[in-house]
Amino acid sequence: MSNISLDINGLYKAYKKNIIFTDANMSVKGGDCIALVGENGCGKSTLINIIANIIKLDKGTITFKIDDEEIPMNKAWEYVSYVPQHNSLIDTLSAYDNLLFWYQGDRKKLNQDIKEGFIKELGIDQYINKRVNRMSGGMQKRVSIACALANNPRILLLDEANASLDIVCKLQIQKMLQKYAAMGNIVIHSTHEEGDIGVCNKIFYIADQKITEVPMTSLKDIFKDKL
Amino acid sequence: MSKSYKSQFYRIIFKKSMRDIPRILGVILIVAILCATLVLGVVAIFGEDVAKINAAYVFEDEDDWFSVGLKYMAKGANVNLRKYDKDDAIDALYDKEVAAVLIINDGDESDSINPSLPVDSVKVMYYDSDQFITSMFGTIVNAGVSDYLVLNATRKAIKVTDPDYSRPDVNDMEDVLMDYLIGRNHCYKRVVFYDSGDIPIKHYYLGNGMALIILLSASVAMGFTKNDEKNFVKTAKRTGISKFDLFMAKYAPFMGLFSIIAVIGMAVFQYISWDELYVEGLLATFIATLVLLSLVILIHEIVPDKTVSTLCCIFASIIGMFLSGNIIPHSFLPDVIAQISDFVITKYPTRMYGQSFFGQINYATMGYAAIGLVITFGLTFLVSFVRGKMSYENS
Repeated sequence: MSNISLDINGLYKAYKKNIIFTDANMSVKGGDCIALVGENGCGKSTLINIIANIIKLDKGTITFKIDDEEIPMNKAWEYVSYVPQHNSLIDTLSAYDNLLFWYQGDRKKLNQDIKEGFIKELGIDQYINKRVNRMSGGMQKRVSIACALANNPRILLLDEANASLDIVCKLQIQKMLQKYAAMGNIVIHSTHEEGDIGVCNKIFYIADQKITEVPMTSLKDIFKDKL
Repeated sequence: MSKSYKSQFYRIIFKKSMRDIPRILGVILIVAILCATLVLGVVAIFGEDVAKINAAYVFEDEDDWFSVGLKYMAKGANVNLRKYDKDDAIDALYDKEVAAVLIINDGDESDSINPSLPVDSVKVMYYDSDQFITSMFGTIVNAGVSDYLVLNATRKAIKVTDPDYSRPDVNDMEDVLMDYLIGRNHCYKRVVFYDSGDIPIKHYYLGNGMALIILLSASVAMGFTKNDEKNFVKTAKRTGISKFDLFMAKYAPFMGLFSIIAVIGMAVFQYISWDELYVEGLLATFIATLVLLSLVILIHEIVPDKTVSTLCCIFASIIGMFLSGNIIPHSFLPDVIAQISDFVITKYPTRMYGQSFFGQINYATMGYAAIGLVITFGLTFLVSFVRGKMSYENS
């Protein structure tokens, strides 16, 4: 699989007078499973949205490369998928229809993925024709992640996607994310969960308008100054 | 975004819309029951009385002939005739309970057809200050006098040709004969004009009821489409769906469903009423529904919160309907409200519904409604575009 990298340099972002980032930097490459941590309101979701090209940055650059070839950010949506905190599913439709809604490739390949690909690993193949509004919260989250994965993105962004799920569901999703990153993709997960951090290979801590890579450790250690 | 994905996108949206039908129908049904109660109440209060003039009559020796005549008048004319004693009738006139008093003399029936005898067959008393009612009643009385002359001439003819003819009671045959004798309805078509427009009161309130049902049920049903709209917009952007496609996906099925339901409802009414369909009326219903829905969508676009926007829609619908004179007719309200109503968008679609129910479309009203539709929909698209940007930035 081709090598990818994502570099953020000199990021500045403010909402009116509320400055979120000043000269923030971040560099990740294919195979990285990143945990974004920080206090509430520090800018985790903003960073995810900036990478997803949903929010525009005020200053700085984001460089996304595939095999050293730079991809303009307005074209990056073809390679980036995003799992929002709250499911963006159409709840009156089945899981399969929701997948079709977000999937842009060949339908045969999607069916193949449902039978034996990552979508099967999410365990939704047996519920594929069930309506979303008749599924449990955990199952809906799996479908939401499956929708994001359907297009085989090179960068998968998750915004507190594991919040309020039961432990079994969390573990399954964590395992799947780890595996997905190991295939040469980038997974960036904004989280407050110790378990999510455990499956990542890098932690970026957002505080004081900066993004800092911290050594692999527990959340308690990261936040010890605040406690 | 590829063409095949775009068609897949719209296919899924269509499927979603089909799934929304049961709950939209459920909302329409509930709102329809509430509105029907309201409209029936308003019709009960205003409907009958605004269409007819109250008048008193004094006739001490009322006979069968007169009863038949009264029965006929109650059916065909716009006058409610009530029997009074002479003094009570004059009091009622002063109190404006009645617009006029008819005092019918008990003289020989030949008096009225013999101009040489100085006898008043009927004395008509008006209240001087109410010029409009007086003039209108005068016209009705003139017609009534002609009828009365024909009636008396007939009575005379029967008595002359068959002096032994007796009539123990009023029966249906007399009713039919009377209908042909005073055959106004056989000679011309009666068209009634109301200050609320060029449609009869029944159709006017039917139109108002339909508009209220569409407005309120669309306000509630719009809430369904707003679930997790922010995330929906974000994820849609990830797939490269354009703002226009997203806008269409959000609202086109909603507008399509409501318009189809409204047109089918109107078609059923027309078919039951006339055994045929009035195509212009169906087209007017379609346009009127789009206008009302565009108003609901505009409010939902301006107000992001689902609950607040639904409440705003309901509030705006009721205020709009009131200002348009659709809840209480303008004749009961200050003149300034009638002047404002020309600029209230709900006025035109409501009238178009009424005209469709009546079977007579006013193309000028349709033109105003179409202009309103373009303006409202344009504003909606503009707000949607601006708010789409804002929602990204505020997330």
